Amino acid sequence: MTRPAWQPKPTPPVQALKAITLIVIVIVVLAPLLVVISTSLAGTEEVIAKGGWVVWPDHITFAAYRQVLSGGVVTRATVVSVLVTVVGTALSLLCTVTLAYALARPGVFGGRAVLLLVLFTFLFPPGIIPGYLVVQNIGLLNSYWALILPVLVNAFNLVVMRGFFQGIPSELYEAARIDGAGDIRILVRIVLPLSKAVVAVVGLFYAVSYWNSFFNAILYLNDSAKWPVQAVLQQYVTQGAQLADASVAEQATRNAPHSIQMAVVVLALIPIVCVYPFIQRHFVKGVMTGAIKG
Amino acid sequence: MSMDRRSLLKLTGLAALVGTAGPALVACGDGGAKTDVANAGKTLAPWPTHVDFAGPKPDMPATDKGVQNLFTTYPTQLTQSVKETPGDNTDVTAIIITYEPPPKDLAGSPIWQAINKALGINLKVTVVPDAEFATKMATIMASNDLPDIIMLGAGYVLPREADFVASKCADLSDLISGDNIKAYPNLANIPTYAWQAVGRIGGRLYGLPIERPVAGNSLLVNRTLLQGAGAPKDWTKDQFAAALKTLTQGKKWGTGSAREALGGSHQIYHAGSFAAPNNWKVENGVFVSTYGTDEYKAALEFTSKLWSEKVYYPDSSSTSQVDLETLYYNGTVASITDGFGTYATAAPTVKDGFVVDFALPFNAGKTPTPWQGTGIFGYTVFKKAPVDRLKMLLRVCNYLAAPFGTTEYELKTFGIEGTDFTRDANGITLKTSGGNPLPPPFRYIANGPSIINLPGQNDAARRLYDWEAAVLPMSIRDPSNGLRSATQTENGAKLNQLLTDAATAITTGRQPLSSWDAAVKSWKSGGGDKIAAEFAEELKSSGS
Repeated sequence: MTRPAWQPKPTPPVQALKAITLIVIVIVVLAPLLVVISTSLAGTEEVIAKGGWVVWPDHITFAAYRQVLSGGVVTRATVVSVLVTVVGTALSLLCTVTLAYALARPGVFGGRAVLLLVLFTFLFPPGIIPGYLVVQNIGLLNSYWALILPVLVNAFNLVVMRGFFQGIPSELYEAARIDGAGDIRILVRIVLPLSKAVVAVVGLFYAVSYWNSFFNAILYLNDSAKWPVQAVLQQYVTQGAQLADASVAEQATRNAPHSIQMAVVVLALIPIVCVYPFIQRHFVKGVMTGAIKG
Repeated sequence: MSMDRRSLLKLTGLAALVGTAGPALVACGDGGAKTDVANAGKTLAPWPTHVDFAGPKPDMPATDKGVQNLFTTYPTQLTQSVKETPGDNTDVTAIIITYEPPPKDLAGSPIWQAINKALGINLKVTVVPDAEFATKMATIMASNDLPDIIMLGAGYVLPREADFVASKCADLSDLISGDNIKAYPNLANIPTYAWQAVGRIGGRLYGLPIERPVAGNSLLVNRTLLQGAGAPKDWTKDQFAAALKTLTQGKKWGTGSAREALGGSHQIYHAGSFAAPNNWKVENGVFVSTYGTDEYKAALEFTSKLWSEKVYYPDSSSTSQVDLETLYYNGTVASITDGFGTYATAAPTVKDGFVVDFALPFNAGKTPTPWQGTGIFGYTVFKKAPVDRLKMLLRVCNYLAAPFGTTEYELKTFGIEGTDFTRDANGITLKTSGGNPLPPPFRYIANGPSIINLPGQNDAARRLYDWEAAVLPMSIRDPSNGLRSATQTENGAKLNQLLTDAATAITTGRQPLSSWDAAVKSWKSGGGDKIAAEFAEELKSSGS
């Protein structure tokens, strides 16, 4: 971003102040992350001696990661999460794109009714028990599809995408029609290439939502072997909460050291950190989509 | 096709109207048919007869005051308590709470397979994390697809729990009341106080208790530091306060609490030391709340005074229990209140760092009345089924309730020798390969009476036994334990929060002690008096 011609060059003190401010902000943002990573790499005795949080470990150990990753439970849960995220995001994008495209076209039969139906779900959440009973009655309990189908289309994402599609000039559609293109060809050859930003950001919203979901897994999946990684990792992090009337032997199995909890946090961050740089440019552009009209 | 702003605003307004009016309209309904769960006026099923299990001889024996058996070594000879395979080769489903990471699935868990083989069933367990337990159980209760075995309790009282149990779960009275329980010897070994803590519903018995020691929340201390400060074990209020002041210097503090406990469970040790009743006392059949007594108020004044003298860890109103325990382990705070079970974690974590001990209550002028816990972790109920199926489920639970010193206990708790643990002169050593090597926590389906056994920590185990022997004879039970109150079930949590917030404000000095009377008055008028009346009615009909 270049400086406008009319703006004078900042003086050295101003530049220094800006630099210091930015450095402080970076430290404030990165320091907690450093503490999380350092604590995950510290031994249990060191974590206890330093009051639960380690800024820089005296001796680096991967014991916490070994404990979390060995046994196969976390690995399997990660595979489940990846599959649910990939399949769920693909299906959600397919349904959202096609529905948004249809609802963006003027004069679609039943379009207003469908839009109102979608907005209705946005404004009136069903509640946990009715949602559970519906999932149970259609036979999705204990199935991976229970993590995908009930949340397949998000009304907010639909509205954002529909808004973007409506912003595409109608002349492009007309020109395509003249050339003999049907609705599907227009969607694939014209609309989608122009909509990379919004598709990327909606896809990211869906992917993050699927990746982070754990509550639906606990609710609908009775077999804990099918739980996604967030549900598994949540158990490591919430271990150690005080239990009233605990037996002596029972309490001994429950308290996970901070190092293990922080290792869990780091493992949960890795996939998002890996994926985000590739879609950042689309994300920044796409976040503004729908916020600014015209 | 588009929607203008006006239409969207109309829709949003309609949503807001329905969102506020809807629940109000729902509240007009009667919430469905209610089952009569009160015990008043009913013929009461007798408590199961207690029969002690003839197992290995403990190093120090249990007492009728609730002191547990102490074992300093693992028995070399185990008893087989169940001679015949309990199950009938069918599938049995169960739902239980868990505080651990999820276990391996059946195919990857040799222990689980071995337990299924020993039980003679295909046990399918759904584990529910503690944080989601109330929500998941609410959905299970609302659905018509109940598992065979359902665990309830664990600190949660679910909405209309008693109604649910009475209407959808099996009445076990004819199978377990009185001498009927002798058909299941390991269940008969469970102490009577645990059965009483589960209580009756409509005069009948529905639940199998998951027993816990009667010792309640207590003060865990750094005995090494206290001895250094000259504090005797049998101390007075002033000696207690003086010790905390001596130990508060620099970045060390005499005591600490956690945010979720400061106004609630943290007060229990002090309330017992000031001889306050355990939640309630019964005077001529009338239930009187501890919160309105002079003793409880004096205890609150005392903790407030300690706070003003800065002997508390400064972040006690915001620190989590886990972080508080870490501060105790590294010597930053010399004492913390915690659940009884924390001892088992503290002793091996601290090792030789300092002497871990529980504190005796201090004497504040009257004989202390340390508060007992409920005596149970939770309880297990069965969904309605034919009698033969119920008997089979009882045999399964009988197996899982096998006590310490039996082959069944060893399999359930430690797994398969050679694969999951090794045995030597020091006892059992688990082979931890990482992750969670243990199967689902079957102890939440059924469990035998708990004992004191801390491998490699015999001194700590003996200290714990000595503490129980000193404290439990003077401890007092909550007279409402096992009794039912509909108001307590519906509003108890909200009412208790009122008092917890007031106690926290007084302890930390944000409110004067005089504000406690107003808080208690609000609690009483908000439902406390009704709870007292309901308990009194229940007590009258229980014959206790």
